[in-house]
Amino acid sequence: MIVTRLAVVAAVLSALAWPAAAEEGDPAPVAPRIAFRPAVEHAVDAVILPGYATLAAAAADEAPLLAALCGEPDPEHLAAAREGFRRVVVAWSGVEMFRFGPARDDNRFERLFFWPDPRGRGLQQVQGILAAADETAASPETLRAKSVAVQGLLALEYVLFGTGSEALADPGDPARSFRCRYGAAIGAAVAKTAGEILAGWTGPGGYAGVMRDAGEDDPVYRTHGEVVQDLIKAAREQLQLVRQQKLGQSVGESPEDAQPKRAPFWRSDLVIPAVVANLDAVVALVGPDGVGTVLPADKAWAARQAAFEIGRVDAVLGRLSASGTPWEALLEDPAAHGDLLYTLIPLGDVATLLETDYPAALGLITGFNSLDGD
Amino acid sequence: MATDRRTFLKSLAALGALPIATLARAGEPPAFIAARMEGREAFTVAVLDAGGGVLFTEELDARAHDIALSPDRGTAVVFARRPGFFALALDIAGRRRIASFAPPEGRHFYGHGLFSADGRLLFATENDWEGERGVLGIYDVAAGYRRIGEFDSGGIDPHEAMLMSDGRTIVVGNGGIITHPDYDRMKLNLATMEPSLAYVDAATGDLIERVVLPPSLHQLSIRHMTEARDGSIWFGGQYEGPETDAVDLVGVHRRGGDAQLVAAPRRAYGGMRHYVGDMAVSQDGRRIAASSPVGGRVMVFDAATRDLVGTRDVADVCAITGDGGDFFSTDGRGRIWRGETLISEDPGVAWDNHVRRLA
Repeated sequence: MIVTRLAVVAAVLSALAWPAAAEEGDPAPVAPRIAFRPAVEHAVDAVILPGYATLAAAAADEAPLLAALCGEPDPEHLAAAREGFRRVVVAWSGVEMFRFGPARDDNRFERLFFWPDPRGRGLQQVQGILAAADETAASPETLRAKSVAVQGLLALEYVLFGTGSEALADPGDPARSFRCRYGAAIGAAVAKTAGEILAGWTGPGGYAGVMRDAGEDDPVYRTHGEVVQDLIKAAREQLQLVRQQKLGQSVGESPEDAQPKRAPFWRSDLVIPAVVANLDAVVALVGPDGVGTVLPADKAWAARQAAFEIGRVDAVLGRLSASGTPWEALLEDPAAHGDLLYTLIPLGDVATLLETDYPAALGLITGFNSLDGD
Repeated sequence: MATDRRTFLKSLAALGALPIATLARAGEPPAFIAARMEGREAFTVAVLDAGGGVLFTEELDARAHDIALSPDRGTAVVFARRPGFFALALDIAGRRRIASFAPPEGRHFYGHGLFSADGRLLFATENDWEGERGVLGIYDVAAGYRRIGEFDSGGIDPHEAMLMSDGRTIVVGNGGIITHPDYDRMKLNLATMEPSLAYVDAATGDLIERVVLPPSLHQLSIRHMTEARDGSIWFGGQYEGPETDAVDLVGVHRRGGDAQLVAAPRRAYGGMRHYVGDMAVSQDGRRIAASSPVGGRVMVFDAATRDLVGTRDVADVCAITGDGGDFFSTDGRGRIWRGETLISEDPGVAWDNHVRRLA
């Protein structure tokens, strides 16, 4: 009997010490088993691929608008290029949260969106290119070999909206030609990068398949639960970025200590449209139609709650945006400032849902040590 | 499955076959020290006996990271996790705090540090974020850890630094990633990061040698290391490039040579999920371990042949240190392992990234 017990103990001990990879790799040790695959397929087919397709299309549309502005420098063409830029920024903001996969390859994320940039390095480099009329920046091929900070959306924003951008509509301005050609090169580079990311998702061996085919032979994901874990993480980080950096640090405690230029796209007055697109993408990914569909029935409220809270924020931001008051002026206005400060509260509630309620309901408890790199 | 495991453990404990050591035991000598989280919000540093029993704990203001030990192992300095703004010195024998101190204005701790060979100075890896450079802050132990200067760390983002066995060379893992305390833990220069392994003279601060990886691996952030018996440095990296890349995460460098990555089957490294959180050498010098909390895996190598000896899969495992011919490790689920044996489990705590051996 004792021998038998010891044998059992030995077997159990070895199971404890050398747990099967599938067992330990499964991030759902306690909760009932959840079929995560539908949530992965929804994320890929209804959010990620359409999001990148929209971005690629918007970027492809913007490139010829910029080229046309160079050929016909007038206010109408400048307005058209600026409007095209708005569409690209909104489309980008819908996929900004996906820092994994093809966006990570070849620094494509940073090529499109070099932010935050606390030392203003990108701005210095863009201004340097404009001051020197560096011709190697005026062709997409040589531009893409330069710093990631001078070939993305914030560089294009400076060209189209920054100091001296009025020259773009003035045929007689000596700075016009180079500035416009640099802008057109950025537009072409953005279109190329956006197209590469889309192809990296959809092409053979693309990341859409990597996510859909999670399993032991998958190069990245062992389970669909791991994919969902990454999706929730992406949504949570996007939400926190909006709450703490884009809104929180810009708004400050009072209108006096507001820092409107801490938010990206303040020059083009696209802060609010970009933030709204960020938040709407979060809801699409993890809300009632997204990851929410695989929440256990008694936890489905969490997805509805997340969507409801973000809806409240959208309503406030939509009202402020509709007022036509520019971002910088909004932060100086006590009432608008108070409204913006208020949005941090529901956004904080959603952050808690994604940090705590979602992982608990899905059995996707992120490890203490694996939570964040160190 | 965790429930099943605990049930097993309970039945095993009832059989008397497995020691479950979670209660404080006063008589045992201190053997290990590590930071941890208790419950959901409380952070402490704990001193353990050889069986993993908690001898005493000290409260911390926030999450900590690694611990520097004085040469006589009588004093331990616990560093806050990056961006860290406090450090706490403990008298191990007296079971009391001696001092707490902070980095100066414009610097934060990265979470690691070391004592000089004579025990008079403490070095801490720090971020000069306005200057975008890494430094080793120098603190005078006898003067209550007053900061008396700093050395350049030889790169951006110095993470772990250790005193080599020669007693005068500090080796630093410069991760290469720019972060700024205003932007939480966001990585600001992934496109241009250049990690390095730097050797700094502890007496003069001179940069003796600086090793970088080939350009194709510029996104392999060198963050942790251990010294093998032959004086070579084994380092573990965290890869910031595409998830689908197959990357050897562990490397070896011998002074004067090039860094060499340690080859292992793709599946073995794949389970590490591009992340090494801690490195250790066994006490007999024959084995080197690399742990990954992200992958929930430990890889064990032969120090002489550099062959992969085995892998162990343990969820959220990170802190690891030599233990005879094997390793002592802990995980984020409150478990303590000696080699492959679970010796203690307390689901109410989460062990942090690093553990140090006191005896």
